[in-house]
Amino acid sequence: MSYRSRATFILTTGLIFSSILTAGGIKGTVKYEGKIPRMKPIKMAADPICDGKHAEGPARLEWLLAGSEGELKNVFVYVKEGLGDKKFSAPEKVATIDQNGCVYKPHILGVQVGQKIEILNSDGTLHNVHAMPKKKNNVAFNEAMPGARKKVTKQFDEAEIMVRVKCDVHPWMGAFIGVLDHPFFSVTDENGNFEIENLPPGTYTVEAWHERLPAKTVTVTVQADGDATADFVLKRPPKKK
Amino acid sequence: MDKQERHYNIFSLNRLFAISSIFFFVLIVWTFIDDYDRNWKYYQREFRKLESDQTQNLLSAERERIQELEEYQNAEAELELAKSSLDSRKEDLSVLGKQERKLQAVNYKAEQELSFIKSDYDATRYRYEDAVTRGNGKVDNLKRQLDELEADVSQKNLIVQEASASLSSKSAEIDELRKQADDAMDEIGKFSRQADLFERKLRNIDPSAMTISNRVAAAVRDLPVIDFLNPYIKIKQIILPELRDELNFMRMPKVDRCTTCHLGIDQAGFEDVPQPYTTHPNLDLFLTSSSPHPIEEYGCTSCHAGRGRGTDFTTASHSPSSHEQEEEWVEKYDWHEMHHWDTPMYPAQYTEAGCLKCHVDQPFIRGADDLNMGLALFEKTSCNSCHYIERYDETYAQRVGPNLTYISSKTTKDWTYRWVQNPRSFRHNTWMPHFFDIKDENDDEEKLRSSQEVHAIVSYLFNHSENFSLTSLPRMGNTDRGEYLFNNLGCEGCHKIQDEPDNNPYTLASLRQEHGPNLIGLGSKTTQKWLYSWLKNPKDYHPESRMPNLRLSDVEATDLASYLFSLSEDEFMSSSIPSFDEKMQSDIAFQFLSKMNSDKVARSELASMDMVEKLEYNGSKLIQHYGCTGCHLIPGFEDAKRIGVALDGEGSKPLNKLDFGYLDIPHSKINWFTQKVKDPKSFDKNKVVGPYNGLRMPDYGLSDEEIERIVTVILALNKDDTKKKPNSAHKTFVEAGQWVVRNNNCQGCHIIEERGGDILSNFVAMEYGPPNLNTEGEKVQPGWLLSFFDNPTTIRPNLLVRMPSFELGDEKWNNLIKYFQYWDGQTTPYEGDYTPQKNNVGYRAGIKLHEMGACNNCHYYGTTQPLQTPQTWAPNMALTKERLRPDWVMEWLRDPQKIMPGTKMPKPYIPAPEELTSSDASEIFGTEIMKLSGDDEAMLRGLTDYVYAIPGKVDISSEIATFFSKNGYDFLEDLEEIDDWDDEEWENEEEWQN
Repeated sequence: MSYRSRATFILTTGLIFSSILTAGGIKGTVKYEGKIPRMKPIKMAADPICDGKHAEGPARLEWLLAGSEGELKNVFVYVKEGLGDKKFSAPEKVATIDQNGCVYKPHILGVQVGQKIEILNSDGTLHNVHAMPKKKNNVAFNEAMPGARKKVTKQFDEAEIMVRVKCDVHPWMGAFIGVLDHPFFSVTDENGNFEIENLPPGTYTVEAWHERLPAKTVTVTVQADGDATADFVLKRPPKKK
Repeated sequence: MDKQERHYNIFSLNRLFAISSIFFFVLIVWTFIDDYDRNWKYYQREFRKLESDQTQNLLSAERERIQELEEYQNAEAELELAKSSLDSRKEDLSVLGKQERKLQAVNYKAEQELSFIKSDYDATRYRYEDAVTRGNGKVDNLKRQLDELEADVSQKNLIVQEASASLSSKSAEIDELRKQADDAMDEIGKFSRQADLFERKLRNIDPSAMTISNRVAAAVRDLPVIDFLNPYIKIKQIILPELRDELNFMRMPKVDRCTTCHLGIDQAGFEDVPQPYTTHPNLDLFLTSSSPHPIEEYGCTSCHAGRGRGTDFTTASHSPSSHEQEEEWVEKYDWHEMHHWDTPMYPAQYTEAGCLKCHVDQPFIRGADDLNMGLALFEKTSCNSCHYIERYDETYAQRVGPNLTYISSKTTKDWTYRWVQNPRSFRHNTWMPHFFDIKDENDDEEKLRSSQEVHAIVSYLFNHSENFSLTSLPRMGNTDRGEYLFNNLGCEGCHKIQDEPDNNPYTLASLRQEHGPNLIGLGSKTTQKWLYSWLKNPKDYHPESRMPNLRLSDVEATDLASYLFSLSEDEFMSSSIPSFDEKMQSDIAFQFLSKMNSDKVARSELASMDMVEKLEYNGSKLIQHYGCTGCHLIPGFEDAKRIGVALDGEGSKPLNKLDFGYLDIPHSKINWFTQKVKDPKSFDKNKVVGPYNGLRMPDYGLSDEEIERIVTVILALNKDDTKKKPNSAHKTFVEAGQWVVRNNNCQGCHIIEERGGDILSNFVAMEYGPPNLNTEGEKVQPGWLLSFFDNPTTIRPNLLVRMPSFELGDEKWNNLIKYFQYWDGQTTPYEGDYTPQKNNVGYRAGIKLHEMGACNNCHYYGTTQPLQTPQTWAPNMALTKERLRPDWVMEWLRDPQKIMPGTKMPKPYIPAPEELTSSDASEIFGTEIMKLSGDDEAMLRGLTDYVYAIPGKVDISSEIATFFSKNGYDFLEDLEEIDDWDDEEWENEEEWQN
């Protein structure tokens, strides 16, 4: 190893270590405030395969899933501003979204620009996966996935909050994919918790996006030595006239 | 000294001569300098610098780019290598070179000798042949000579061949040595081509890049006096012998010298450079040789107008686009208007006026947004109703207003009085102009006159109204249901219901949605019975109506009528109506009577009329006076002519033909046209004219911007010499069809040529609105399309929106069909039926692909319903063989999104070759697909063939109608929920958990 390349090696490893050491994160909970609607059961009788997968009881819609204390699931929390001009290359890791029981799993997915997304069909019935991005550089697609076609691989090339995905054969099926040009996003679990890791220190605008509830943003300052906290409370929008 | 015998003193005379000759010499020099010193020369010098800087930048950027290319670096390295190896063999090379030169000499000499002997041989042969023919005694002798020479020739031939062989082998040796270097040079040349071009250009324009001798030559060629030879600084002109400028009875070829100063106009790269060097804003459409308007063919002034021969700012007849700009120009360029040049350049905002002279037959001119807006407004205000315009002859209806033949069956006298008096107080965005626009509220005489005029017109209309028998309502309609139908059947493709103005400026899309009237206040205007009859068949009441028939059922028509009737305009109806005034009626009658009679006769005629007769007489005269018949069909005036001047050539009218009256505005054509549209009667200000001798154009209430667009059209209607290319069949068919689209507002609902479909935003999802007609010509069978137009059947089962019956007749439908076909390059008018071959692998593979794709989830097969819920339903596949063209179906199956972006039809699954290699492939895909081993053309063809073989009932309109009349379109409302907050769901207590 020449002197020069050794120096580079030391420098880069040093940088990597220091950035990990000095990176913090954002943790928090998203809650829903208000009366919680009961999700309607989905009538899947038109497709026996779908119906058969829910022998224990009908699947229900998923547009607002909140726990007894309002812990809100399926909220896409992401860094909206504050990263400046930093560039992040797409991860090797493939994101997956499965069509299982004639619902999308997960219902909300976050990916990076250029990251491969594998769309699986575990149902063995015909689905069609119809993505309807609005940004110019994202290619809309609508692919038939008969039972035999187990996998379709796609990607999006421009950040977009959010790309809607639906199945035209089973109109109840819907999912949202958040496409970002950085890796700092998370989706809340059934306890309403999320965690965004490895954020370099700095001040960020973080947004909590929900498919029906108006989004909220907060400003969070991340220190080098620990996690910052950001909690959100989402409410239904004012009534229409 | 002797006194000279002269009357003058020679010395003082000499002095005088000396002074005056110096004076004249100075004058000549001055004249010369003044003549030589032109502004455009400065511009050219400046641009030369700009251009060489730009080229320099491009060159260094290009060099940088190629330097970074790996292939280029390799080639350079290769060249270096080759050069050094050549250096090491310098000695060999020079020896070889010497040998080559020697061999060249030997070869030359041999060839020379050969050709001498050959000519000897030819001469001798002639002498021998001649001797044989004449039979003289020299034959034998000559024969011998000939043989000897022949032997010589072949011997010399051998020598030449040998010499040239050794020469080429020597040359080959040298080439071999040089080969490496030459190849490397070639390789480098491939990359540096662009840079070489820049370099060459730079050597022409940039003195610092020239050789010294060239630099001197370049300087010399621009010196005064000798610059007539081939100077760099010179007037650049485009001569267009076929295009002529009209110069007082003489038609001179167009000569455009604009590029003398506008030097960067046709080159990309000067976009951000200030005028006059700026690049033209649209090089794809103009100037470049690959654009439809190359500068060599059209010049500049054929579009922009102005004086092409002018070479300075003023004489080119530039026109400022605002007062501020005018002041700036006066300051900067000492600009003034060229008073005697009839076609000054169009100010920037009117530039598109130059397009229409050639594109006059087109309903829509791609790329001319301002002009298109102007034309759309021109058509909406229906200038063509009063002013003849050739463009609209037979392409656009003259009478755009409702038929007044049966007015008494539709509305009341009271409503009509209020409407005619002030249309915009009933419907804020009506296109009916104001004829009785009272400027001065205190002018009681004027108020009285206008009220009496309206009375006279209304009584004429009602007295002459024929009776229209209205069908009685079969039932009372449901207002809510009617509103739902209004929102979903497609009415909004042409109509708005908009209570208050939204104050947004018009766009082409918003004008399309005002194709029909804003339907507010119908409850105050007409009756449910009339609405019902109208909705059932508009053409019964008004044969010229553009409103199509929606084939409404009795229930639908009553519901809609009930909804429309529920919209009333009470405030409008509460305004008071002045009573008749006999004195004013007499006055009006007298004014008209005395136009054609002496006062005495007029007075006696008047005396013989009673009030009713006066109203009748005045009404008929006023209807003619105001030209109501331009837009409306009125009994007694069926053949009335237009009352305005023809507008063709209006844009070329000389300024002195435009009467500004006493109006104090700057005298220019544009000002006159603008004022005329803005306040039509204002040129009569302070003039003494009788009430019925002055100007009578009504007021349209347009905004300044809209007026600007309309003035663009007026300027465009000029007599400028055009170079309209004769229409190709393609263009003729396309234009005829585009007019059908324009007149029937097809784009209110459908996307055609990527424009329109304005109604689509009202639907939950695009797929529940009218279809995009992209590729329609390639898509459908023309015969089917004609039968569909004549009798629309249900194609997309779950659409609530409905294709109306337009009843346009064969000619118009054919225009439309041919347009669709030609637009898509599908020019075979008659095609045989497509019968798929069933007995082959492809077809059987198609069956399997179709099974895998489970098309029956969404598609009807004849009367067999799709498996999934109505929300997913798609066209009847048994109809395909009659409706669609097989080639199109294949393209559609290849990628539906490409043809109809956003369609819910997924791209069918056509397995890729690698998917057929897995161990269980034949189990999954079956043997037939395996046999095609990933040939997607064959698979798509097979799938298409399968679709064409699907049996079943073709027209299932009634089955679908029956299904939906029973089950409704509830899914559309369910869909709304997904995209919208649905209050009902949130409010529904049973659905709440706590």
